[in-house]
Amino acid sequence: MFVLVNPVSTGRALGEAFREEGADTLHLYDTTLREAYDSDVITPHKLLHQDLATTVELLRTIEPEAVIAASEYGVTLADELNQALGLPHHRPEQSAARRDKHLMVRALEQAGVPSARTAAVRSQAEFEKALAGWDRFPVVVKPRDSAGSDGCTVCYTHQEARAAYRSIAGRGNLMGLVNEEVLLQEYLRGTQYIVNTVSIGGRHLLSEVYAERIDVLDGVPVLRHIISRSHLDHDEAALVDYVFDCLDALGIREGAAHTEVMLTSRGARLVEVNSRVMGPSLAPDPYHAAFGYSHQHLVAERFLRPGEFERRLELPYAAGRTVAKVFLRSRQPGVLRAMDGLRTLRRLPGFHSIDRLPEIGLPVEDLGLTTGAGGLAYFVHEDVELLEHSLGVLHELEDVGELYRISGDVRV
Amino acid sequence: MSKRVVIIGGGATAAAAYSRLAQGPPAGDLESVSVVSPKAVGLGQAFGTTDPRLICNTSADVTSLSATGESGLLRYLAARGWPVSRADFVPRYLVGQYCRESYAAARTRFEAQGVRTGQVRDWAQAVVPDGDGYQVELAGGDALSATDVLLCLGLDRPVLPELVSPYLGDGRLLTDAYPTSRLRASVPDDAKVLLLGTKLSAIDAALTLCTGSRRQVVMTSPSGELPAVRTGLVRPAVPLVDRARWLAVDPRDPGAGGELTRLLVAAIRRADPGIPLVAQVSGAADGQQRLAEELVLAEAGLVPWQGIVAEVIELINEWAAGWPAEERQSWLGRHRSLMSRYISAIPVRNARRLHGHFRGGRLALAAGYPQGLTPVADGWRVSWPDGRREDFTHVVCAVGYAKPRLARSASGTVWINPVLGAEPAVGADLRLRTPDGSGSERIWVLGASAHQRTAIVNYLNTAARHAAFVADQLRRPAARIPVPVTTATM
Repeated sequence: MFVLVNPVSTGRALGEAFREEGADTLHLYDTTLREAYDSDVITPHKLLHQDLATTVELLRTIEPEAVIAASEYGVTLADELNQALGLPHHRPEQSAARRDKHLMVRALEQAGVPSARTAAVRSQAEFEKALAGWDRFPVVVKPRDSAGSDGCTVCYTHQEARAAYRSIAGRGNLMGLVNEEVLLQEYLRGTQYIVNTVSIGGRHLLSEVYAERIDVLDGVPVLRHIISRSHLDHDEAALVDYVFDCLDALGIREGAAHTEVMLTSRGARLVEVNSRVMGPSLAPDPYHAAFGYSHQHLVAERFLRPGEFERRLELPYAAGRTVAKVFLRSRQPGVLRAMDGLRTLRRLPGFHSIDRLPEIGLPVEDLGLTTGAGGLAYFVHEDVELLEHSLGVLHELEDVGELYRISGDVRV
Repeated sequence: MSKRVVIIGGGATAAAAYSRLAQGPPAGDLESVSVVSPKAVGLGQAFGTTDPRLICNTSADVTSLSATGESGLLRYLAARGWPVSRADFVPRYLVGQYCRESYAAARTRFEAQGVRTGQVRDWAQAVVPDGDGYQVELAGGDALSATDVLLCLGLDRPVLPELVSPYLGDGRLLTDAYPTSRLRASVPDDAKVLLLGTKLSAIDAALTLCTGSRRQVVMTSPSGELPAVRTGLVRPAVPLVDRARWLAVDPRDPGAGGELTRLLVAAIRRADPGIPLVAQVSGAADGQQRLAEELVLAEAGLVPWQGIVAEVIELINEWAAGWPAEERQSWLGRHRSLMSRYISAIPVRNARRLHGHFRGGRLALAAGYPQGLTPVADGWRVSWPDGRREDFTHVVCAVGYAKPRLARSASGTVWINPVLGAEPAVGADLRLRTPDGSGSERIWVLGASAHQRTAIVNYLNTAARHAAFVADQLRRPAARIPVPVTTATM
C-alpha cells in the first residue's frame, strides 16, 4: 500500500500513475482539503487526517511501503508521517527548509551552495530596515509561504517595493494562508529553468529539464510557457549539478522534486525546490511523446520497480522530441465569450493537446498566475526551432487578444 | 569530382534552393549540402515573423517554393486543415512554417540519399577562391570548403532616409518596422508617430501601431502614394499578355512605353472585357480618397487588372534579364511608381483596416514630405513644406530594405555586404562572371542576391524560379564544373 498525502492538483495524476500499475493506494487528506476528500470517488481507500497520532496508528495497521507527498499541501505531513513510521524518506531535520523559502536559502548557505540574497520581514518597520540596506535594484517582493507566482512583484524603486509589500502583507495567499512574512529577494537576471528529479536512497535521477519563458507584464512576472531541453549544453549540465547540490542541502532523498533555478551570469541560483511532482498539470501523454515517460510515472516506477528505476541512473539524459507546456492567457479580464483563436492554435506545427480550458460565459481568472486556470496547451515536435516559432505565434495571438474573445473587447 | 554545395542564407530563397536540390533522383556526385545561417533555416526576415496579423502581399498561388504547377504552400496548408484558396493572402508566419517544414523534409531526403547535410550557425563573410573550389569564410573564424556556392542573401538591412541619419541611436527613433512586437513594445500607447514610408512595410507598421491603441500616426513619403488594392495575385489559366510582342520591345526605343501600355491594356481587356480600365482604378488626387475608392472597387470585384500582374512580373524579369545592370536600374527607376503601386498592391483586408484607421482619425497621410526633423525635449519637431511645424513623440522608418551587396577584391575574393567595392558581374546563368569576364564562377546568386540580373526579386515565385534554374545546373555532372553555363533558359 502506498499512501498519497493530499493528492490534489497534480497529485491526482500521480495517483493515476500508481493505479495504472495496479498498485494499492490510500488517499490521505488533511481537514483543510475536506472538499477534495469528499469528492474523491476514485480510490477505494481514503482517509481524513485528524491528528498525527491517530493517523500514524491507523497507518501502522496497513504497513504502507511509502508515504508520498502528492501535492505541495502534503509535503510537511508526509515528512511527519514518514518520520513517525520510520520509513525511508527525506532528512527530517531539513523538513521546514523544504517548505519555507527563507529557510531554504539559509540551508543552502550552511551547505556552501550559492544562493540569492534574501531577507524575511514580519512588519513594515523590518521591511523598511531591510530596504534601506538594499543597494541593488530591481528587487523581488513576494510572500514567504506561497506557490506559483502568487503575490510576486518585481520592483524597480523603493516606492514600488513598498507598494508591493503593502499589497501582500497580512493578506491571504494561494495556499490559503495569511502572508505573515514577506521576502525581499535579489532579482535574478537570466533564464529560469525547471529541473525535475526523482531520488532513490539519496541518489538523484534527472527526469526533465525545461527552460521557462517569463514575461514581466505590468511589473508582474508571468510564466508563458516551459519548453524541454532535449540535450544539455555545458552551462545547463552545470545547472543540473547545482540542483543536485541543492537537493542534498535540503535533505531530499526519496521520490520527486521539482526545482526552479535561474541561470545567471554568475552561475545557477536557486529559486525554490518543491519536494513533489511538478504542477499545475501533468497530462502524461505529451511528456511520454517527448521523453518516453512522465515525472509521475517515474515516481511510480521508483517505488514499484526500484531495480528498473536504478538502471536509469547510469543512462545519459536525452529526449527524442521537445515538449512545451503553454499557460494560455487572456489579454484582459472580463467574461469569456469565445475561444475562436483555438482554431489557429490547433493547426500550429507541433500542437499535441489541450489539457484544460476556461469556461465560456464565466469571467477569466488568474491572468498572471501559474495555476493554469486560463488553459493549458501542449506542443511536441522533433524540430525545436519550429516548435519555438509556433509558441511565438501563439503568444502574439494571445497578446493581440485573438485567442480568447472577452466581453467588451472590440476587434479592429 | 564530387560536389560540396554551400548555401549562404537561411530565408525562403535558401529553403527553395535546398528543397529543389533534394528533389528528383539523387545526384550521384553530390557529397554534401551545407546551409550557413545564424538563424533557423526557413524562418527568415519576411516569413519568420510570429505576428499572426501580418499577412502576405501575394496570394498562396504564387507564394510557393515551387515556381510552376500546383502551389506547394496551398498543398501544405490543405494538409494541415486550413480552408484556403489560391487567391488568399495567408498570414506570413504560415509561409515561414511551410519553408521550415519543406527544409526539414528535404534534409531527410538528403540523409536518405547519403548526402552529408547540416546547418552551420554563423554569418558568411566572404567566398575565397581555393584551388578548384572555394573557402566560405565565416564570422566566427571558421571556413567551409565548397565546390559550389549559392548566395541566397535576403532583404534584411533597412534603408534609412537621410532625414534621420544624424539621429541613429535615439530611443525615440525606430529604424525598422519589424519585428512588430518591438514596435508595439517600444512606442507608448499614447504616442504621436511620424511614419516614414507609404508602401508595404510602412502599411504593416501603420496597422501595427494603430490597432487596439490610442496612438496617432502620420504617414509620409516623397511620392505620398499608397499602393493599389487587390483581392488576389494568381497565375492566369491561359496567358493574357502577348509575350512575343513584349519581349520584342526595345527599351531604348522612344515608342517602347506606348507599346507596353497597349500590351497591358489589351491583356487587362482579355482578363475581363466588360470593365473598362478607367473604371478599375481611382483617379482621385488625394491618397486617402484613392484608397477608399479602390477599396470599393476591389470589394465589388471590379479589378481585373490584378489578373495580369503575375504574368507581367515574369515577363519583366525575363525581358530585362539580359540588359546591362545600369539600363535595368534606370528603366525600373522611371517606372517605380507604377511598379510599386500595382505590382506591390496591398490585399483588400489590409486596405480595409487601413481605411478604418484613416476614417477613425488615428491615421493620416501627409500632403508632403518633411523638409526638416529636429530632436526636441519630448520627441521630434518636423518642418513641413507648407511651413507648418508639427511635433511627434516618435519616428518610425519603414521605407524598405537594401538589396544585398557583393564586391570582389583583386585577389578574387567575393565579399558579402561590404561597405565599398565594385559589384561582380552576373551572367544569364545567374553565376558570377570571372574577374576577366571570360567565364563563370561556380558561385550563383538567387532571390534578392540576383538583383543585378533580375528586376523584381522581392517575390517568392522569382526565388523559386531561380532555385529550379540553379538546381538544374548543379545536377549536371561534376566533370563539367569548369565549363561556364551560358545557354540555360529560365
